[in-house]
Amino acid sequence: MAKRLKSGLTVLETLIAVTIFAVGVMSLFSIFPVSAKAARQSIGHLAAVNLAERELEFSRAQAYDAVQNRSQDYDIVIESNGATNNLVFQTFTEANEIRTGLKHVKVVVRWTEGGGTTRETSLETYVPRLQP
Amino acid sequence: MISWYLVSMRSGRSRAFALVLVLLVLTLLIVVLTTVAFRGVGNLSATKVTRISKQSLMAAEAGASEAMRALVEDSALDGPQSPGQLPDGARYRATIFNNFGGGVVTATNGVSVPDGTAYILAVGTDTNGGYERTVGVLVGGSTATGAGYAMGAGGDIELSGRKNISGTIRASNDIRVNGRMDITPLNGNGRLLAGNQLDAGGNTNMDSAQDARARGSISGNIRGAMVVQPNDTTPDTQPFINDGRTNNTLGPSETGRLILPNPDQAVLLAPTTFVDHTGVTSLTSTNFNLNNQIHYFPDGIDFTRVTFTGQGTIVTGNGNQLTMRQARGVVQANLIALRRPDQFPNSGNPRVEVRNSEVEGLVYAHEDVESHGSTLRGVVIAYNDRIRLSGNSTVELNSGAFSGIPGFEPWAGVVGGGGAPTSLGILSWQRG
Repeated sequence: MAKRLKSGLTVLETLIAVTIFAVGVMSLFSIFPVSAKAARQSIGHLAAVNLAERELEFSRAQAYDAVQNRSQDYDIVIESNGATNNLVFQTFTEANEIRTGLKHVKVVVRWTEGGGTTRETSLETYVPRLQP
Repeated sequence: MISWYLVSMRSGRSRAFALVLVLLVLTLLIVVLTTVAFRGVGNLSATKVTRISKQSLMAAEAGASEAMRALVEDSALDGPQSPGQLPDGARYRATIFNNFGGGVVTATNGVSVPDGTAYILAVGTDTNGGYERTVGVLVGGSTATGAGYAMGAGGDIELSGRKNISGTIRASNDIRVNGRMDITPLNGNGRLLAGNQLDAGGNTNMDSAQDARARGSISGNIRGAMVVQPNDTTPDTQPFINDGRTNNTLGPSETGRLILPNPDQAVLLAPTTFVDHTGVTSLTSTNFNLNNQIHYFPDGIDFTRVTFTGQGTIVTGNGNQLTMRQARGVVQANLIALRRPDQFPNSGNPRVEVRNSEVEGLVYAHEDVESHGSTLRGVVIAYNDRIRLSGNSTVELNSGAFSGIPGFEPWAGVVGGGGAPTSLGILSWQRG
């Protein structure tokens, strides 16, 4: 009797352990969608930052008078871990002469994620005129 | 572990051990799953750091840009500049290591700054001073002519025939072009700037990074220019200041304007420095040794088929003309025609005429300059009136044309001497 009781307790213990395990795993599973979303957001964010830098460098490469407001769309396909993300980015360059011979240039990049959320990032710098 | 488990089973401790084993497996699984689960979140954090780091770099470039602009306006600037902050919060600070004047200059990061250049070391950070990035920019300055113009006239500029121009063409009044003209930028300057009308009657070919501007209308065929701007209101098309002043200092209401050079004649023609050729008005088919001297012809001079040796400066005074016809070989001389201070603004006819000759140096007249079928390497200036080119002509800007000519120091010393404006060219741009 004592031996059977001992075996039964072992099964009970295992069931309890499996339950704890299941609860733990289930709670972890709830993190996965958040993590996946963050991963997708990360991909979009990184591409947006690089586009902002690209647009700023484009402005810097222009003659001073040609550094002006402009907008540009980029349709980019990004492959990551076997998944393909197709993202459309809109860049808006704002150039304002803050004093004679010096322009403040700010690039804002906006994009919409798969879930419909619109996000944006930006970079800014100055561009000088090199003639008096 | 299995043998130990079997022993434990046999020893009656299996009940507790099963739980321990399951918890152990559970812990390991949690660690693995947590790592995987938070990878995406970690990536996002890393991306945000990337953005902050890039913004710090852009802030450093903003600091360098601001320092470059300050250096354009005052070429004597040196040392740390005022720190600044971009509208969204990133901060920057820049230091100028100015070696325009020559000498031994070493930046704090160990970069040796070559003679005739300036090095700008800028640091950018985020709002809180973190994520520090640096930029090092080496710039060169164009000496002598701050605007980098190859031709500057207080009146009109009239260009006909086939022309190759290196440098900017700038007139207080009209620019009129007939026949083909190619303008090549030099030190970033290959512009057409008219204080009134710009009429490009022939084909005018410009660089795609350059502009053509006029305060009045623009007509004709201008190809390749990035901007063609009639009715321009920028300072670039404001008339030159040519009011007889012999300094290069702008008044309080003259910001952005340029002063045409006007030599201090007491310095240029100091009694001990020039060779007096009073009474000589014509030299034909002879040799003339310039001998690194200033040759003063107060009654005007007409050189015809003369062979020049050495280098020097030829000056006519009292409102008289300087003519150079069919010079043999290259003339390494500055050609200057002056009116006396008491003849200002319009008395006499101090003009320079160059025909079928090749001149290396400053070509300067208080009234007008006329060139036919000639090559002029230097700077061409008509202080009061017009520049007229005809025939096959070449004008190449030499921004050092004023160097070494007494009386022109306020313009010759633009870089590293007096803090006057200068044009900059970027020689290298390093990010760190």
